Amino acid sequence: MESLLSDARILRDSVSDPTIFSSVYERHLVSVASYVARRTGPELSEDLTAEVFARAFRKRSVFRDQHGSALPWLLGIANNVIADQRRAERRRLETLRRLATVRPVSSETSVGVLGPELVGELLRLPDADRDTLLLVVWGELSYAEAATALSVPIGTIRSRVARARRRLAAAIGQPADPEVPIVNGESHA
Amino acid sequence: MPDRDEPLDLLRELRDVGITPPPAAELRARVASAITEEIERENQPQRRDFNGGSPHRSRAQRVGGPRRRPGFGRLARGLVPAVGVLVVVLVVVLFVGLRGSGPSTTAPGHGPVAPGRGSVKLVYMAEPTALVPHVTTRALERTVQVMQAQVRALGIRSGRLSLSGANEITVVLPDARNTAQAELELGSTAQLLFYDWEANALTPDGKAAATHLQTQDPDAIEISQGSGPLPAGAPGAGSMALYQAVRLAARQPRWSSSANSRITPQYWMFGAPGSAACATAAREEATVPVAGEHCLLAGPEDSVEELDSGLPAGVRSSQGQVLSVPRGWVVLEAIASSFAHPVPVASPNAQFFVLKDDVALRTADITNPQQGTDPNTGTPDITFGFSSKGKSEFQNLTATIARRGALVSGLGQTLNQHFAIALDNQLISVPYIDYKAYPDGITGDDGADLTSGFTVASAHSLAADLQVGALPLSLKLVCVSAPAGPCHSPARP
Repeated sequence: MESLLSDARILRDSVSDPTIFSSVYERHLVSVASYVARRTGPELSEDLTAEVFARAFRKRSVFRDQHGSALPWLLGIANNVIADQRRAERRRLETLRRLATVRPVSSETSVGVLGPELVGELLRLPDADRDTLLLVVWGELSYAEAATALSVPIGTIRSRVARARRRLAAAIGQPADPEVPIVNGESHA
Repeated sequence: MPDRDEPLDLLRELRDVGITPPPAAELRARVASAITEEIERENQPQRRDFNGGSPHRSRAQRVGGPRRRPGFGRLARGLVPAVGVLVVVLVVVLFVGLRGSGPSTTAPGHGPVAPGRGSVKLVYMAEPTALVPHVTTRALERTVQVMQAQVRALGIRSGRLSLSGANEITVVLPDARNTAQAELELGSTAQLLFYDWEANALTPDGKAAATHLQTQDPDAIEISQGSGPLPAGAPGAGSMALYQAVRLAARQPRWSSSANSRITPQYWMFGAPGSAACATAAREEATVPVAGEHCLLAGPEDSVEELDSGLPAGVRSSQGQVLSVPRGWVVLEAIASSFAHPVPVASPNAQFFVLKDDVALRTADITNPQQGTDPNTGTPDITFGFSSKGKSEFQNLTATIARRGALVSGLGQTLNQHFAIALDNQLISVPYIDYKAYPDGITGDDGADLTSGFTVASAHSLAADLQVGALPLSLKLVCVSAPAGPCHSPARP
């Protein structure tokens, strides 16, 4: 029995009746928790997800509806929460890099050996570029939604994603193992 | 270009490596608890509570607040003598008794919470019901609204309610002196249920009364038409002792339907005639075991574990026989003859009927329950209307009953058929429909009127209980404590 009310309506009404805020987290809990877990690892994800919704609750009166869904807004808050946990994210990425080294991510494409470079470059990306890229790739937001989440113009999103993609492509374009066939497709920014 | 997003595709493949998402229930509980803390934090500096009059509370206030219904009482009361079917003996003392405790002044308190000092926290666990088979956010929110109305009805002005987990509701009351009364009243509302009587009542050998009327089955006729001066639904009019009724119900096949009033099995435990367990149980209740009869040791409960914890002191579960009444069947106590002398369920004098749990109308289908005065007798009564859904269901129910009355009545014999009104596990009335006067049933437009047997206080209490509406979810009190103190299981009534 899902609520038919929009996120914006629920958030607005929850200012005077806080109990209905639960409809918002029921709706977006899985998406937010998955995003947080992908970026910081499973150990911290529960606490950080709770923190995302606690901050969202405190800021619920200032929510502005632009996409019909509160998810971009929530993932923007998640980015801020993750920013407070940069070390945790780094640890998570280091773990990912080790995992990528010891086992293929996908046996069909043999990209497993590429994993460490990819993750390593991800680690070296400027925070803003990484935040933007991962909102799009792991948070599954559109560019417009990511722009809302980060409160920046959509053009900034485009250029950050393009820049990040170019660097990642360059990283996997110089494989440690030269026998692995690489298609370096990044030909445009 | 197919290779254009290769880095992004690789990232997508990477994103779930090594991730085991936290169990949804734990995650939800963790987030809910964080939000509850935020709500409490928000409430503290402003000294605001959920029941304090925000515009968004108006829905609950509408439900529980005073109202005027011009003309309704007159119409409803006019209906009763005309139709002659909705005169209901309502034994409210029993209603209070069925909640498991006596009047609120004698309700048990809780050792850990000193009466009159500081605030108290009650935590309720919400469980699904037939109408709401899953605990959803909306159902929890509606449940909180009903409980808010209940808190207000208790005259507690600054109780705070919040969702405190995936399926928990926390109530913080400002004064522990309210605890006993709140425990009695919160989390349970009057469940008024309407059944087609003959279609659902079973004869002692397990036949639906309606299907055996035409063959003049004596048991079916007795259930339908009563016995001598005893009307349908009265003790002795085809009724059974508790053990026989529960055993009969336990033998029925599970029948699952959205029309059920209960979705879980119901467990009872009986002691054998002449057993030590029955002697112990009788001693505890200061009674004497009835020779040759089974005795009730515990129940009805939702689970065997609860059954065990409800056993009288000195009785072990191995000494009892557990009977489980499957979903789709109910054991209802016969109409009590006097509200002043309710018959306890465990009493050897109590009589019962077994019904298929096919509810035609329920509390949610009635509107505007009001305590008033019957102009004919000057006694307190309760009037109510039907919701638009309730109106059509009432019409359907009474039309079905009238048609069956015409069908089973033969030459020289009138077998008017009935519907039953039950409150919780107690039959309160089994009125008949005069099929000749109302061949198409009775329209629900004019509402109905429950009369007789009330005191002003009891009618007022039941009307208030009906006003707040049924709880969408079933609630179990799991914790009573000081707000920051350790959790104590509530005392058993």
